[in-house]
Amino acid sequence: MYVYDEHDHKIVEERVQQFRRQTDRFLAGELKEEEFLPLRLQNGLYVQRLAPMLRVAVPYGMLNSTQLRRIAHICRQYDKGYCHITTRQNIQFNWPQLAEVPNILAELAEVEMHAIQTSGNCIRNVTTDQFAGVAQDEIVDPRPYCEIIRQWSTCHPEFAFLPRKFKIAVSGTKEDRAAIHYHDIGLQLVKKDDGQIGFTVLVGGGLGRTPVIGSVVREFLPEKDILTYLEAIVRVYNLNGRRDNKYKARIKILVRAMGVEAFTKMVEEEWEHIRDTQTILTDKELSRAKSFFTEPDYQSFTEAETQTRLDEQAAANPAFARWLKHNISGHSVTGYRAVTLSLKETGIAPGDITDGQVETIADLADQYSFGEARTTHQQNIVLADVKATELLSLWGQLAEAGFATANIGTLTDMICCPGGDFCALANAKSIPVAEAIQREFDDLDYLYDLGNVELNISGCMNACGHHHIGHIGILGVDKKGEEFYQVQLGGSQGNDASLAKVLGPSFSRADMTGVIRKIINVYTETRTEGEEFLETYRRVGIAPFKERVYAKAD
Amino acid sequence: MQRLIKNGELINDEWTLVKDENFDLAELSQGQWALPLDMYEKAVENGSAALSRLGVILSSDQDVLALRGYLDKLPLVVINFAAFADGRSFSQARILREQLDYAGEIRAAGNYMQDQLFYLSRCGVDAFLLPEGVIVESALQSLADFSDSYQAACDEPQPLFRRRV
Repeated sequence: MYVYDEHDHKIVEERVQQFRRQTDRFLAGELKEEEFLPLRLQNGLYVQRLAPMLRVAVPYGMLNSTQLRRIAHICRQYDKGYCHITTRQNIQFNWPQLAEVPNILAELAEVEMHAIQTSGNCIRNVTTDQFAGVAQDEIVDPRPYCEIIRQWSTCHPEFAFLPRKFKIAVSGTKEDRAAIHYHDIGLQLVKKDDGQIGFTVLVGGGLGRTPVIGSVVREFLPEKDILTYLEAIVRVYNLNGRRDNKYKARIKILVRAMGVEAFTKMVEEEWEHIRDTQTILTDKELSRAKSFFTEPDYQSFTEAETQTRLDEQAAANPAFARWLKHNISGHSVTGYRAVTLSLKETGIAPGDITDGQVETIADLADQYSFGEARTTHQQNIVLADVKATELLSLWGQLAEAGFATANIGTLTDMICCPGGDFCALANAKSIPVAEAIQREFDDLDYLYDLGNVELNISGCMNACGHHHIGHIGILGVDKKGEEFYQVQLGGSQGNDASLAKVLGPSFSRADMTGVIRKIINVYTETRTEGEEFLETYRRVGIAPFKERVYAKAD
Repeated sequence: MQRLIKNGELINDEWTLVKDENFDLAELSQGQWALPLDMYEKAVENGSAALSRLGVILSSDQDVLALRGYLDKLPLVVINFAAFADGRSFSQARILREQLDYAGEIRAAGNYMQDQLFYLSRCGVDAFLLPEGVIVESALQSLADFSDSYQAACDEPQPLFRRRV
């Protein structure tokens, strides 16, 4: 993974010193609340319902064991012994003290981490596929480009006061696992027949109040042009995006108002001015960035011997077999597997982990996966480079640590924002709804029979829980001061991106498990052989679900 | 009297910024004046003063390209912040310097923050009319918040990746 040099260290350290001075001025009354606000946000610090919340950047989800141990230390030293993995691969602390935040940032800087631009109206942490570099369907490893974009966007002098937040995601695989259709800019890496690498550029996707699927503004952009092209897009947005209404300020609204063609023309004209500047990438920089993401020291195995042994182990141990089937992904190197650690154990808020668990992940990463781990936007953790021969031993340790719930990709592996228990923006709590659904669907065999069902919960229309793109989406709403939940169906985040449709009037929290049960029953009763939930929904439409859920009791 | 920092030093301000819509152009007979764009255009048209004594005040919603015909004789462009969260001024300054090759003074004024000084200076702003209540020493420190940056900008045409050894 990327390693800081003296320049990176200096920039991050100077950022910490800058924020320390700003915090001091604020605490001394020299900096007004409204002026401190954007400064603290751009250093990851929100003021939440109960306490400040600090969001730390995990650039494109990559962490090493040293960083994990420092995160665990911060959980213990400055927080209440746990942290939270967000839907944009970042890590949040829920209970830091404002005056201590500069010290936390200094501790992070020592291990090459920061909280720069994890909030506020600026370019946010760039995200990608959690299986980058090991995915079997990978076209090009996206991580070197993510790092190049991270550096370009970090402390960008022109784009720190945009009309609204700005999110970029990069996908390097055939199947999109980075939700590039739902980002302000989505970048799909492509390789031409002659080997030339570039990007298909999508602009104007997003969730929130007005969910929109992004539009292609350029089919093929050569890799060297990526930074100048990004700069042109963001400049056009900075100058033309609406600033009079925060709900109409995202780039998706500008693209829609101008029309994709007019918007694209304006970007291309701006780009003509800057495409030949020094910001065009060099071969040297591309190879430097790629040099940090080379293959680790893999051992060689034959697939036959590996698989035979796994089959034997699975036959002797049904619980291990279940886990193997659901929590393990294929790997581009023979004899290796990517392992997803489930942070969706029933009774634990989705994405929450304790200091001790973070340390366990660090130890397991060292022992089994070249000292690295990844966060996922589904709020789990991945160990990406595990030898198949060591899976059984790893599984035992994961089970002990509470990470072996074999529910990845099932209904109970849900995405869930912190909701009204923590967040000041939320209309309703989301964690108790998630827990109630997990308790209702506690039979693993039944869950497996349901197949891949993505259930996403947001506590408000800001959509941190990505409810628009869940096969089943749940949105917390406020009805005259009471918490209600709207249900949506048919969303999808992948290549076949689609936005969910609202089922009908909202429900009380107590009704929610019953509603989900009815929806699932409609699916199991109407599906054809081997048909997944989303396929059934697309075939039969929303009507049968609506009928069942809103049927009057006899 | 607002204080002015230019090129990193506190200096005397020779310019008067006109905010009154009913300002009488006859007053331009002596002194150095910065005028809102429409008034400036009128003053140029009327030959109200030597161009070397006239500057322009640009608000964040105005197109910087409107200045194109004047730039070679224009000594001062004031970019005026209505609100510090309005980041259009950053792009305006950069376009002035990098695309229109403007070499005169670009001055930040209005409702911006001390904590934006460093980024503004990277975008080509070289003079700052300090907001009320700002401590000069503290502002000078903010102006030098960072000693290195990743991106190319007006202060450094080479991005860091071309400067790494």
